Amino acid sequence: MLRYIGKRLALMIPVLIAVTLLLFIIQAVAPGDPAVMALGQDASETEKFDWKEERGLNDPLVVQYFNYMKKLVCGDFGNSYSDGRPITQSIVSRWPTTIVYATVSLLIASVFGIALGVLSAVKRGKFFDSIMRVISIVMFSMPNFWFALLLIIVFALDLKWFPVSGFYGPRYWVLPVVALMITNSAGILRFTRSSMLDNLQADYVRTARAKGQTEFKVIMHHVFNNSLIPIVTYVGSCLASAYGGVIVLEQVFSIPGLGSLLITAINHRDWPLLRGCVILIAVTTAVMNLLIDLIYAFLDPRVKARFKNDAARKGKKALKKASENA
Amino acid sequence: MKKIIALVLAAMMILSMAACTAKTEETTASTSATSTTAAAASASAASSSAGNAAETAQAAAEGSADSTGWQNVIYASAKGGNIDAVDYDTTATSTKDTLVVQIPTDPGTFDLTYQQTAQYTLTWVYNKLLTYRYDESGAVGAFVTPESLATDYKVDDDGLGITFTLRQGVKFSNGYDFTAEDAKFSLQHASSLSDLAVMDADNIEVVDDYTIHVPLKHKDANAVYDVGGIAQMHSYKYWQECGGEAGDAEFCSTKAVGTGPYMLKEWNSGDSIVLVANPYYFNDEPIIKNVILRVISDPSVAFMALQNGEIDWMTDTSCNWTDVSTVVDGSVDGITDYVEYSTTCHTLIEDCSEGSPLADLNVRKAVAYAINREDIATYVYEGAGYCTNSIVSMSSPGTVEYDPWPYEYSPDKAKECLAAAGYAPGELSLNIVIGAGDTLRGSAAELMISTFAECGINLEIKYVDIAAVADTLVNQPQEWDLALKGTSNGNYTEPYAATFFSDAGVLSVQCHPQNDPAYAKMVELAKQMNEATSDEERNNVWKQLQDYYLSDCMYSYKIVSVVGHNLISSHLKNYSKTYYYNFDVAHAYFD
Repeated sequence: MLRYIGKRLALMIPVLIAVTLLLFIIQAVAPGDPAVMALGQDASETEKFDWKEERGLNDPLVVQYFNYMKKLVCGDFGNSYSDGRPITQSIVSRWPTTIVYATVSLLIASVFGIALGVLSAVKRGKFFDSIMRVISIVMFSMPNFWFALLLIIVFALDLKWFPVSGFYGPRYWVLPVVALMITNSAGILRFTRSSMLDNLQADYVRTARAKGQTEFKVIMHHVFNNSLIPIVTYVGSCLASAYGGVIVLEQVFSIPGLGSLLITAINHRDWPLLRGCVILIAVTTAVMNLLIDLIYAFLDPRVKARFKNDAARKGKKALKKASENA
Repeated sequence: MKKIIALVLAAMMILSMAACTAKTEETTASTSATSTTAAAASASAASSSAGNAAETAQAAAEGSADSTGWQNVIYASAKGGNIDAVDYDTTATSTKDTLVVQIPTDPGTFDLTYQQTAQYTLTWVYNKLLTYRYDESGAVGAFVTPESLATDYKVDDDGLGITFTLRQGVKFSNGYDFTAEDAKFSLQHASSLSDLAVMDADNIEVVDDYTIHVPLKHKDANAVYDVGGIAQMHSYKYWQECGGEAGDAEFCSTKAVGTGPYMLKEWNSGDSIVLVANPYYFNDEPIIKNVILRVISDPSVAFMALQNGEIDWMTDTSCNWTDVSTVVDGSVDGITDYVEYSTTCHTLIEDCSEGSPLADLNVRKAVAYAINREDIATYVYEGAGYCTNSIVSMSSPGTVEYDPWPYEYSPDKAKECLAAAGYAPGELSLNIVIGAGDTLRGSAAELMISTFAECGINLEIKYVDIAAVADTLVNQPQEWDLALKGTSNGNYTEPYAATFFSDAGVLSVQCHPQNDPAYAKMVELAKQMNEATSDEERNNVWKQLQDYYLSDCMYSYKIVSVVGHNLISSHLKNYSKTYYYNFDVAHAYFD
C-alpha cells in the first residue's frame, strides 16, 4: 500500500510539469498585458517595458519557464504582479476558507443526498420516488449562481433572516452552504438511487431475504455497502473540484476564497498568482483522487485483498530469486 | 520500465532539492532612496502636539498679472496655492460608529506604484504635499488645503524646481514625526510613475527639517500638479524598519502607515480592509471612528447589501444604471444617488493605420456623420451619460463646445463622404471592439449598427475580454477598425489635449495615425500648447488645434460624457467629493 501511495505521489511530478508548461503556453498566447493591468491604460511604453523588465517578462518564454521552475522546486511561487506580495501568502490566507466552505457543504449534501437516494431506491415507483426524481432533476439542472441569487432575494432581502454576503460567522454561512449543497445533493441523490437500484436486483440480495434477514439489514448492510463505490467516487470528485474554488458562488456571496482569488488573477493577468492557484488545484485534485482510491481499499475487500496479494506476490518473487541466486 | 521511471523521478527530486539548498542568497539592489543617510531622518524633529487644525498657508502669487513666464503659468494653472476649507459641522455626533463602503475588488495595496486601483482607498490613510480638489469651475487642481502636508510652495524663477514648505507638527499613525526626509523619500519612492518623470528625483534636496527643493528635468506646466499631488507621504524610518526594499510590498499594504484621518487596523485579503480613526491625525478627529472597505464584486449583490443596510456606500465603479434608476425613480427608500459629472467620457477610437479603411479622412467623416450621439445619450445612457458638442471632456479648460456640432447625424452626408472615398452604399464593412460584459457600450454599439446601416456602412461588434482591450488596440491594429472605450481627462493645469494629442499620447498610440498627412501638424500644435507661457496663448493654440482636428483629423473623439453615480445611505451626512473617485468622509456622520 505504501509503495502504491509513493508511486501515485511521484506521478504528480509529471502532472505538475505538464500543468506549468501549459500555463506558460497559455500566458504566451492569451491577450492582455499584465503591465497595462497594473499601471493603467495610459501608461507609457517605457513604463511598461521597465515594469516587465523588473519581473523578467521581457525574457524569452523558455527562460521565464526555467527560472520559474527553478524557484518552484524551492517552494517559491513568486510574487503577485498586483500587490507585490508572495503568492504563498495570498493562497494561504484564502484557501482555508474554501476548504471549510466546500467541506461543510459537501458533508451536508452527502448526508441528505445519500439518505434520500436510498429511500428513493427502496420506494421505487412510489409517489416519494417520483417527487425525489423531479426535484433532483430540477436542482441538478439549475445553475447554482441563479439559485444563490434567489436565496439572497428571498431570505436576505425580503425576509431579512440572513445577511446578503460575507463569511463572518455561522449566520453568514447558511445561504452559501445551502446554495452549494443543493446542486451537489441532487447529483448525489441520483447516483445513490441508481447504484442502489443496480444492487437491489442482485442475486445475493434475494439470497439474504430468503435466509430471513430483516429488510433493514438487507438494505443497509448488503445493498448499501456494495453501492458505495460509485457514490464515493462522485462525492470525491465534487469535493476535489470544490476545493479548487467554487468560483461563481464565492463571487456572489463575496467569500474570500481560492475561487475569487483565481478570478482576480485572471482579470489582472497576474500570471504568478494564476500559476500558484492552478498548481494548488492540480495537486489537490491528484491528492483527492488518491484518497478516493485508498478509501476503496477500506470499502471493498477485493481491493484490499489485491493490495495484499500484490505484496505477497512480490515478496514470493523476491524469495524465489534469492534462492535461485543462492 | 516502471522502476526506471520511478528512479528517474526520484533522482530529479533529489537533485533539485540539493540545488535549492546550496543556492546562495542574492543580494538585493539598493534603491536610490536608500542612498540618503538615515541618521538625521526624524528622530530629532521638534515634536509639537498633534491634531491642531492647520494654519492656512500664505497665498501664492494667485496668478498675478505682473508675473511672467513659467512662474505665472504654473501658478495660474494651480490657482495660487490656496483654497478655502470646507465649512464642516465639527460638533455633530454620529448614531453609528462604523461606515461600511463597498469596493469591487481588493486593491491589494495602498500604493500607486503597484496598482492603479489603489487610488480610491489611499486618501483616507495618506496625505500628499498638495491636495486635489475641484475648484469653482469644476476642474481639478492641486491646492494647499488644511489636509495637505505642504503649507506653501514656490516655483523657481527658471521653472526648473519647486520648493515646498512642509506642515509642522504632523505625525504618522505610528507616532513618527513627518519631516522633509520623509517627503524626499516618498517622492523618490513614487518616482517610477510616468507622471513624475519630470522630477529629477535623485537630486531632491532637504533644505531643512520642513523644507525640500525638488528639481525638475524640464519646464512643465503640470509639474506642481504632479509633484505635489501624486505621491503619498510615507515614513522613511518606518520603511527601513519594514525591511526597506525587501519589505516594500507589505509596507505599502498590510503594514501601511500614513498621516491621514484613518489608519489601517486590519487587512483581510479579498474580504475587507478595516480602518480606524488615526489618533495622531493633525486635523479634526473623524466623527465616524471606523471605516470598513468591504469587497463585494457583484454589483447586484452590492446593491442588495446596500438595501439591507449591510453597507452604507456603493462606489461609482460598481453602480450600474439598472440599480441607479430604481433609486432615482423612488422605488427604493433610504438611498441617495450622489451624481457627479465626471471627467470620464466614452470615446470612439479609430484605427487609422496604413491599409485600414479609416486611413481615409472621407471614411472617418462618414463614420462621424453616421453616429447619432444624441440618441445614444438619450436612449442608451439615459441618466448615465450626456452629450456635449466637444472633442474631449468640457472639463479641460479652453475646450470649445461647437454649436452646431459639425458632424450632426446625417445619412446623406455620410453617403457623400463614402462616395468621395470610393465606396458604394453597403460596400464598406467595419467592426467595433467592445469590452466583453460592458453592457452600456455594447448597447451603444448596437444602436450604431442601425444608424450605420442607414448610412450604407455594415458594422459588426467584436467583443474582447476587457483585460485585453488596450493590448488589442495598441498591438493588433489589423484586428479592429473602431473601438468604444472610456477615457478620463481634464486636470487643472494641463488641458488634457496637450497630452492626448501629443506624439506619445493615447491617441497616437491607439489610433496609429502617424502616416496620416494631417498628423504632423496636429502634434506640432499640441507641442505649442504645452510650451505656451500664458493661459491665453495656450487657449488660442488649443482653439486652433480643435478647429484643425475637426476638419482634417478626426482620429478619435468623445461620444458621451459619463455621469458618475455613488449610491449612499441617506442617513450619511457631511461628506464631500474631493476629486475623481475620492470623497472626504473624515467629517461624515450618521443621523
